[in-house]
Amino acid sequence: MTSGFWRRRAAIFIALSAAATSATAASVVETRIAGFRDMGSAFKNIGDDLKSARPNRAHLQASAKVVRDYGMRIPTWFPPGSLPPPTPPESFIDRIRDLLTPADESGQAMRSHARPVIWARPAEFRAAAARFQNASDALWRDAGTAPVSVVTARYKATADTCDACHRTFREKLK
Amino acid sequence: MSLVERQAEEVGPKGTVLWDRPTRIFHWSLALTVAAAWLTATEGWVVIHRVCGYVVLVLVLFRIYWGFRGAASARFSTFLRGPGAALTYARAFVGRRTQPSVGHNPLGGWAILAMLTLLLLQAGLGLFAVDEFGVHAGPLASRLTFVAARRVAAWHALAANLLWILIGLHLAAIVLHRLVLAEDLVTPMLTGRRAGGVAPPLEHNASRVEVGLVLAGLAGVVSFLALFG
Repeated sequence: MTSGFWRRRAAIFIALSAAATSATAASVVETRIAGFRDMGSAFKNIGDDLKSARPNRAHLQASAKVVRDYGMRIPTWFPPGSLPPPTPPESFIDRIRDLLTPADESGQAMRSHARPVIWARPAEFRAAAARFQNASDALWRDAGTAPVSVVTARYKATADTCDACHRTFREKLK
Repeated sequence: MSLVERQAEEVGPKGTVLWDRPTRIFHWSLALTVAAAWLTATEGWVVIHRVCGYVVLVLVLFRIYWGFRGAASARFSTFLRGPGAALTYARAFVGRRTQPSVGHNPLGGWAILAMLTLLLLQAGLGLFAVDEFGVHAGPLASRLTFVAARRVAAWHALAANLLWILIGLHLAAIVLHRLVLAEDLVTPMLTGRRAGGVAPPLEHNASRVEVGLVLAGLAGVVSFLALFG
């Protein structure tokens, strides 16, 4: 057993763990994109329900729970190293092709729009996430029974925290 | 206004009438509304943006109606000419051999059709689009899933870019007519008239009541979509 044996072992270990880290980073990016998309779906359902005079409260509360539960996971979705690499500028043709592919396949919607400032100012990001968590938790607690006007106010307050966070921490969509 | 008064107004000493009043009001209302829609497309002006979309819808639908009932220069049957006529006009334009048109020239006619079509499509897409939060949406977006409505929003953004290309061409054509042919296209769209000329007076048979009823009907349909879609 020479030191060469251990050196090779160390090299293999480092290579494997690097691969594992990047695999984790890739899957966490996918997880958070899917999570935010599902949150958007649920949040749209809440808005659609609230448009009706007598919203289905069970449905409303189920959607609010989806939003609230995903919200609790937001802080785990942005570990160090999960900043997506900068995407090369797309040509006009690429963008057209992108727009013509079915909605739930790859495309602009499936690209991470996370801004580096998330990792540069983590405390500020956690605070923004916490504001969303508090608002969506209150929405969920009131969604089943509180008067519709209260639920609507909670819904709008939650939407404001989405918007506030995205302004700082998400790339503006083109 | 009686026929005599109208004729007195239309071939008076002030020159040839090119555009009837509804066409001019339509044109400038549309220009203002599209500008407002563009300014309010982002950054939290969604409510105004939505109203702009409804106004565009009413205006474009009115213009389609007016394309059949308006004065000659406003009618599709007058200004939609074959591709051959458009090509001939383009060649004549390059050779500075064109005469000022009464109404749209053969190329301009196609530009009008393209802009109207794209605006109708754009306003229609807006009805189904939703923002990234699933919060602000067109009145018909509740019929789509979030993912589908986001896709529509992407098309809405693409159509806006195509629209800007067409508007750019429209403005470039105005500048070119000014520079190449020394033809002023802006003043007639404001006043309806061009100095000089012997073109026949513009007539349309639509009474004010008819125009009012059509506008009210269109506004009613679009309001219904907006409120109960």
